[in-house]
Amino acid sequence: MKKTVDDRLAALRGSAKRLDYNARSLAALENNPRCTLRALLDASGSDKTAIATHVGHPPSFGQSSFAITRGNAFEAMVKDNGCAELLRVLRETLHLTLPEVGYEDLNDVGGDGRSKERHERTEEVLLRAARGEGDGTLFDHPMLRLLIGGHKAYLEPDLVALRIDGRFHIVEIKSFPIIDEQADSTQVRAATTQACAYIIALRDLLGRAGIGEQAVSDTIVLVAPKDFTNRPTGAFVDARKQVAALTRQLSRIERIGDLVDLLPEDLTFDLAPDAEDRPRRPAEELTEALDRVLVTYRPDCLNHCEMAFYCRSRARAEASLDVLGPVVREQFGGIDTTTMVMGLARGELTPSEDQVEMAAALRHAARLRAELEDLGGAA
Amino acid sequence: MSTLSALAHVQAMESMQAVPLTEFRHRHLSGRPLVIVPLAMAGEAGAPLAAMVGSAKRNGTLLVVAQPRNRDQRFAFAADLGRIVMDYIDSFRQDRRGEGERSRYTEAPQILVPNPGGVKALADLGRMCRFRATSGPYAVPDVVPEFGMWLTFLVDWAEQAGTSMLLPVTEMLTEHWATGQSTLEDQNLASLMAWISPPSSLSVEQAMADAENPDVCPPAGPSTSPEFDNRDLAPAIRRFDTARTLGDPHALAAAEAELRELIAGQIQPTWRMVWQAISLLRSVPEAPRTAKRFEGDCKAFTDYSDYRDSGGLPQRKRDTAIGAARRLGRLERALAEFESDMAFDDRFVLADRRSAGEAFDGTVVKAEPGRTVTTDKNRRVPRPRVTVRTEDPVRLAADTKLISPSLPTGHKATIVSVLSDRDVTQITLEITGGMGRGRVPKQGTVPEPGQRIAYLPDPGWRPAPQFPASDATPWTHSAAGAAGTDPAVPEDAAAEEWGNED
Amino acid sequence: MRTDTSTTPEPAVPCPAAAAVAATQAILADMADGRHRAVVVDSPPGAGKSTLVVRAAQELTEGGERPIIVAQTNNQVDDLVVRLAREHPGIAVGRLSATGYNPPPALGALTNTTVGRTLADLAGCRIIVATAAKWATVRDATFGWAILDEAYQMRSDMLLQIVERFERGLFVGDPGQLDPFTIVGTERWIGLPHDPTQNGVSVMLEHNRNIPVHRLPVSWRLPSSAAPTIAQAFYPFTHFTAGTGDDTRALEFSTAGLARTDLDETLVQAFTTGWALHELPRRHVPRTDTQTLQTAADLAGRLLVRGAVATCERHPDGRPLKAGDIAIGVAHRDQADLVRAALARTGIPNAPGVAVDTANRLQGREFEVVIVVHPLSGRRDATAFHLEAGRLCVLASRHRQACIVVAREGIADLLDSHPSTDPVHLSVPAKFPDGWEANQVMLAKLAQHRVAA
Repeated sequence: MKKTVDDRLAALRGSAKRLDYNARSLAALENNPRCTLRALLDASGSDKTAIATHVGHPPSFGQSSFAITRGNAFEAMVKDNGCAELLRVLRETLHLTLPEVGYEDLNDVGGDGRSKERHERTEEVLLRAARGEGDGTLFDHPMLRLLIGGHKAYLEPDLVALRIDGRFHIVEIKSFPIIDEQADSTQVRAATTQACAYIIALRDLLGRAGIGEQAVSDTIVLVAPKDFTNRPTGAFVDARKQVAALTRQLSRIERIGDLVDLLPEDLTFDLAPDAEDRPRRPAEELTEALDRVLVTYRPDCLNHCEMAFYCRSRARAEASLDVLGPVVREQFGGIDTTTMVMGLARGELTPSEDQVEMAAALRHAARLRAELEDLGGAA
Repeated sequence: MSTLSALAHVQAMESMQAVPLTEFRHRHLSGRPLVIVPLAMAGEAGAPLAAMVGSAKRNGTLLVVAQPRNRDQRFAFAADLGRIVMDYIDSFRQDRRGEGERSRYTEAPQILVPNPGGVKALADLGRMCRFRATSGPYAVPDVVPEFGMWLTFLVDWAEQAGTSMLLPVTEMLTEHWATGQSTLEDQNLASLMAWISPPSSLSVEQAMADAENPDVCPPAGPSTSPEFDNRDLAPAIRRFDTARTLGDPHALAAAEAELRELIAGQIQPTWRMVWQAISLLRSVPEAPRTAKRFEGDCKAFTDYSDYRDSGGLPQRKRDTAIGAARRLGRLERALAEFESDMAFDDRFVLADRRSAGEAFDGTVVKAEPGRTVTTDKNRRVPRPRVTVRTEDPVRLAADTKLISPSLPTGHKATIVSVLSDRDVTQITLEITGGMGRGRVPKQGTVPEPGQRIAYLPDPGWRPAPQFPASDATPWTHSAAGAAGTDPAVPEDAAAEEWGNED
Repeated sequence: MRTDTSTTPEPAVPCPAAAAVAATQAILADMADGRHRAVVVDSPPGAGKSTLVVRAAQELTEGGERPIIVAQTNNQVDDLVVRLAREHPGIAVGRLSATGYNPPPALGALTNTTVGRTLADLAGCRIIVATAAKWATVRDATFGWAILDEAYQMRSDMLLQIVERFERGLFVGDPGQLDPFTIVGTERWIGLPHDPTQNGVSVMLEHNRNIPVHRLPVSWRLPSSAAPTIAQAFYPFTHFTAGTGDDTRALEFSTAGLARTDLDETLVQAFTTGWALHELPRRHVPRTDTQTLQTAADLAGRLLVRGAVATCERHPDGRPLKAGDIAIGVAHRDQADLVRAALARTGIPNAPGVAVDTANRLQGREFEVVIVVHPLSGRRDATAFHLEAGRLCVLASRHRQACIVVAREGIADLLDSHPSTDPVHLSVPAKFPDGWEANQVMLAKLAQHRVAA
């Protein structure tokens, strides 16, 4: 049974290399769990950016090199001299007692940077530490692994600290500022959901060795620049709810088979790339394939989903109320399109039994608008 | 949101043009607003990159920070911008009327930014500047902390509903027009303008597509587009840095000129668009009660001016317990009053409340103008009753107190009964105020049969809450022994540590 | 911030009454002990909060104090005044009120009660009761003790206005109900210990360590069919039990019924098990959906028409239910208005006597049977408002006998695909219970009592 689902997913992806989940795409699971297209593209490891670009709706998630440089420089500075700045923050700002400090660099294994090797090394080191055998306290860039829908995803937290309260803590180093003890809540949220993936993966690693999940705290330590300076400061973030939410979303992925079963047999998002990785599949054909899958477009998708421009253009073409966002849409109950709303409002369409009430409200609203515009209010 | 406003958005989407949501503009629009278009550097906390500033479309000043990571350049920029803004603010501190307590400036400054991000950028700039010391290590020019305090004042005041001293133009536009796109897209000034007033040669669809193309419409800030950063800005800043390191004055001047030109190309389209939005907004008539609310702005401006003149301290980093409670009370009252003012002034907003059943408009079908009652104090007073017939889906219950925009100010009524029969509702009201002092109501204060009349709930009068004195925070709101963790002037006033600056 | 919430395992309670007495003794002892400026009592739904308030006030009076009582609404004040005056005829009780206040008949009939506009009017009273809003207008008077009822519903800024009126406070309330709120959208105070939009109890506890916090362990209101579910869904870190056994409470019809089979089936389910989910066909609807609201009204109407006799510890021989014993709870004010209209439309003479209100206004109230319009019914999206644990908690914990939930099919899917996009803030402990989790627990319970309409 499982095999068939995997085969179907592989067929959806086609000839392209499978893209694995990463912390970012896992975090994105929470944004729109209702969307079938997103779930299928993620589960099949399809390249959303390439697909969206090929159908003429390239995503616009470019990252400024300034932000990247700043982020790297800040992380390096925090970790300089065996994490001297980090320790200062943990001790002075967060008032933590870290008895002895051992720093362990897990960025590579004797020059080998491959994920699998790094993961094995991480597993060995962290398990030893959890059993109180090693002398590591701070683990730089460990390589964690999580099985999602039968596929490995490698996850790489900035840092894991042990013996804060006797437990493992995920430390996230971010370059957005903490100004007067407050930070941008969207950015804090993004950092938190990423950290949740690490918490779950770390608990999984320890759990396989029979160590309970209590060993990993669900409070994360966020280290970021203080105010307008380059000096780091820190804060705790309570991630209990996000850990629970992400756990729920991961269990939903296991149910992807239910969605796959509903798809037409021959459906594929294959780009049929040539030797130079240029898609050969006609864009119209790919669009048709996408059009056969249910999407749940919300304007908010524009902030985080590679497919959002495609979905928006589809919603616009269908005159779907989704274009206007949930606050407007909520007013119209079960009605889906502007055509239907306006038809009922003008009394041109006969409401179905379900719509009688909505139609009456719409006609009243339309009468009010007509009254207002008649009186010369309309510009 | 009411069905009516939601319908306006659907109408806009169907007809592919913006639809008015209000009859009036509810914000004061100064004859001489100061527009600021701030740009910031990506990834950096409050690192200004540039600003275009000015009080007329034709005389905008472009200020550029060639290396935003450089502390001295940052504060040199803050000083330059600060001087322009302070000159503008000071120009409103001339004409003062009234005596003593009531004395106040007759006008107030108005700063307009493209979008809510612009307000946030000014807030960050204000926070960065207001504690800076003007002597000792890392000294900054006098204008910097002054500017910081004023920016903070304006940003704080802008949180209060209905005020006009600092506003994003996207907010003014969306208060008046409904578009066929989402709230999120409405925050993009170019997308919003595409619906309201697309460039003459373009359809709304084309204008919308252009609005999201950074090569055609550079973002209105404060962030610049990543493509621009990577393709143009980063190399230009590198050339500037190199020239500076080499100490080559010609190369430095050339690099600076190149940077200015690049940034001008990014900022000018937004600058023009903000002014275009302003002239559109001017064409919308101002709501009657806006002037009265603006007096509140003038009073706040006067009070803060006087506070600064008396050498007042910079605003705290965070509110104290009592300060926070006071502010919350003020914000809540202002919001309730603004909403009520708008419904009272504006037929569109009233209609919104009507479609939600929170107000009604109908025809007087019965009147007892001569009805009187005897009060506790044995006085006979007029208490006329009228019955209004409406087709609005009224949900108001008996005993609700009402006001009416259709009758002279001061008119008050209370619902006696509501009788609904299918789509028609008959509401009987007792008129309780606004009839003059006599035993017989003054002419025109009691509606007559056949008269068209609208009512909405009376927001009522709320007493200002009374809190303990600022220096006497009670035990429930202060930790024993902890003597103020947030002093008025922070420990780092002289200079925030900059770590290992690059 | 160290957020790992400790869960104190509760010792098995052999006798609810004894446990409740012990809790009350401990509270009174802490009040008598001079070291504490405040004593906090967390009370789950129907755990005898008012009884405690009356008892504590009487004890204070006996000790020579002249306590004041602060409640949140005029109804709460009136109820407390009536109880105090009836149970302690020897104590003069003062009711401080605003102009325009009309005392209810029950209060007007009391001889040991005085109603006054100012403290001067109440000079002879040993206990003075008023709303927080009224106390906020009082100046220049300080009392030794204040008892603050429904304290979790009082905002921190309100507490700040009245705190100078007393030296010590007994804060009593239900932490599981709705949090106070503000319509002003600002993030400015998030993370501050004195955030004025938070409830007064939390803010007071933030600033005062070592304040004893007690918990009433027994719900006398909720039947044994409801207490475990409510405790699990809304009080996951504390525990309470029902004060009555499985056989104490019962509902029986006075007449047989066959006319409206779906309504009757739901009523039977509720009468026999204490819960019912009356599930309407799946459909996205606005919150004003007539079918849903009319069904809630019809269920109440049908209950009145068929007549029911309720047996309980107070009425072991049974008592016929009256309209006032029934409530219909909703999320929004417009829904309440429409349900009232729907009740009138049933044509049943006493139907308008059924209490209809929003969760906010039903807080602290108690009925025999409660019909709930599920906040998520018919919705496409769950907003924070509709998911709020406190809202569902209030609605599902007002009843002594049975709770009937009316909803459209589809809530399970809505929860399953709910995006979690709430903002996350630094150093702010996550609020528990989580609305999503609480809704899941309730839905799982209701699924066992589902009647498809």
